[in-house]
Amino acid sequence: MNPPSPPRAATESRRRALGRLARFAVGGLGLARLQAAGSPLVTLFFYSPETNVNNFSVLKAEFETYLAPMGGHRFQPFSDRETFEKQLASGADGLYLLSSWHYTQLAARHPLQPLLVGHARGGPIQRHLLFSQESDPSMLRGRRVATAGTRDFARNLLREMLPGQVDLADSIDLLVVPKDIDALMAVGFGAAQAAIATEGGLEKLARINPKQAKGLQPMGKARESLLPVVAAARGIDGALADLLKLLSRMDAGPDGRSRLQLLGIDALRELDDAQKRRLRP
Amino acid sequence: MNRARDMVRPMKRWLSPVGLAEVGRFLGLLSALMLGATDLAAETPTGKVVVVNSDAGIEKYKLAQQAFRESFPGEVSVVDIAHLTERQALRVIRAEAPTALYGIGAKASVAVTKASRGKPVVVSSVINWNRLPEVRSPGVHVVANELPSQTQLTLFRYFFPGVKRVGVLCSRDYNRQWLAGAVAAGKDVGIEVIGVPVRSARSVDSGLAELLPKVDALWVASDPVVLADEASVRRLFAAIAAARKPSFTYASAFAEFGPTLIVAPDVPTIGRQAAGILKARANGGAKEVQSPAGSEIILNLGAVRDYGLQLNEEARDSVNRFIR
Repeated sequence: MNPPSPPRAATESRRRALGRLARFAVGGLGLARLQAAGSPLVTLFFYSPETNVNNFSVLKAEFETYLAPMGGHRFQPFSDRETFEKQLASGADGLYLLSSWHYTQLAARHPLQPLLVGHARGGPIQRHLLFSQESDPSMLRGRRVATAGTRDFARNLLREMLPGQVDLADSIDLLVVPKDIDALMAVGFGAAQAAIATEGGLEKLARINPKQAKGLQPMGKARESLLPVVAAARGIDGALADLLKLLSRMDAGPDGRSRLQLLGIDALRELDDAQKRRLRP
Repeated sequence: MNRARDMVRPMKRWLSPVGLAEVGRFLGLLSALMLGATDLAAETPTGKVVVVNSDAGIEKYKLAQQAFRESFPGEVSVVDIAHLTERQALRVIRAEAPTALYGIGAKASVAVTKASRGKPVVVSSVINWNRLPEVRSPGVHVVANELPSQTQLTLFRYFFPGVKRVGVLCSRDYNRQWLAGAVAAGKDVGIEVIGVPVRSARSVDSGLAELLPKVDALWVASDPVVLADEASVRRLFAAIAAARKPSFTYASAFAEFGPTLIVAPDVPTIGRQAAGILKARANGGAKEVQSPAGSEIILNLGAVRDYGLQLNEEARDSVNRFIR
């Protein structure tokens, strides 16, 4: 499951030329298939500090099953940030699916280009909140807060959601759980005194178990952020263009949509200028 | 039921991608240590926690131990007592001079309570922990082994919003109170929980026959009478399948019997919870009993299709494993 070996430069150059010719000749119609037939495979690398991803084999199997008849591109989820960033720094050929929070940090160090953004429930925006049954944040000093994010992501959010109270934010003990809904329910069962979750996460709980959701009040609010983005570390041509097109059309059919839902999104759409500005480091 | 095989599955899942290759693991550990330094330095407990594992060869126990070590900022040593008698285990544990103890599994949990001599103790991964007098004692903190019925029902409802009536068999003697709680929890999520109490293993078949026509799905809940042994588990799931009813249950060990949905506790979260309890109660404190805070979901898509169930597609992001 290592990334594909780079093809010889001459072969690659011929393929790119053929790709350009094909683009010119057929005007883009059926381009994805043509490119897939002649282009090397590329990989969609995925890492998200916003979720404690623990279903790697499901993600990998589901995405690669979907991609197999469409050019056979690969999907590679990562469990830790450093390995993902090393992959990016190594110049591995592929696209990168990552949280917008992580993107803005990486874009300061790497020449990344944002291309697509995830949409869920009709939009590309999310907001994290700190939910608790208490109303006074000082009650959280030294206590436990559940989160589905990584520790550094959650700690960063806490500092943002408890402005001017870095001491308080840093005193909190984080309990990392697999999903937003676990974090929210952990408060109801006393395993944590508060939970970091998205507004969407609470809405979801409210639809299923309104009584549990009703007891949770927002104690702090983070800034709105974009859902995960797809980015490239080099120019888009050949196989990358092919994969990008596939990704942007995944929501057109039930097979693609069901794969996107594994990541908590409904679609991947092109970023507009305002969204690109929001991603500037 | 092959519990050993089931124990191995989560590890395979964790180890399958390239991202978990050796270098990744090393870097992950390094990053955890670095972040931990930022995260936990102010609260680093002094002394040494001894983690006592009933059998580190059992994957679930190993995962809990690993998650504890990654989450606990102080000194930790591990003792595996799989091949030790109780007397030998106590000697080995005491020789470690612990300032706090974490017991994983029943054997280790009994051992740590006996070896503790008043030091803080937390235990996990003990089936029916409240039947062990040593674990019930006031100074022993517990992370329970099963998700609360509210959590199981909430997640079942999340996946299958169309299911309105769920049946459950449970023993009259052991689970009467639990059933009352489950019925109330069902009301919170819009599910009518219909319980049929059974007196003995012999009355399970008649109880099931009474229940099946009244419900949309069966909930196979933890019960020492209904699930007395492997044969009774196998027979129960077979009868539910023969009646063409979906079922959901609480343990990944039952995956091979074909339930539609399994809502099990996430084992690494249990280890992290144990670490959190010992961090907060380094000096003892009042007994704390926590339910598992994380869930592991296994969804049987073949059963969803066969029974024509309406699946909430949005819920796919919560699935750890699909069975097709």
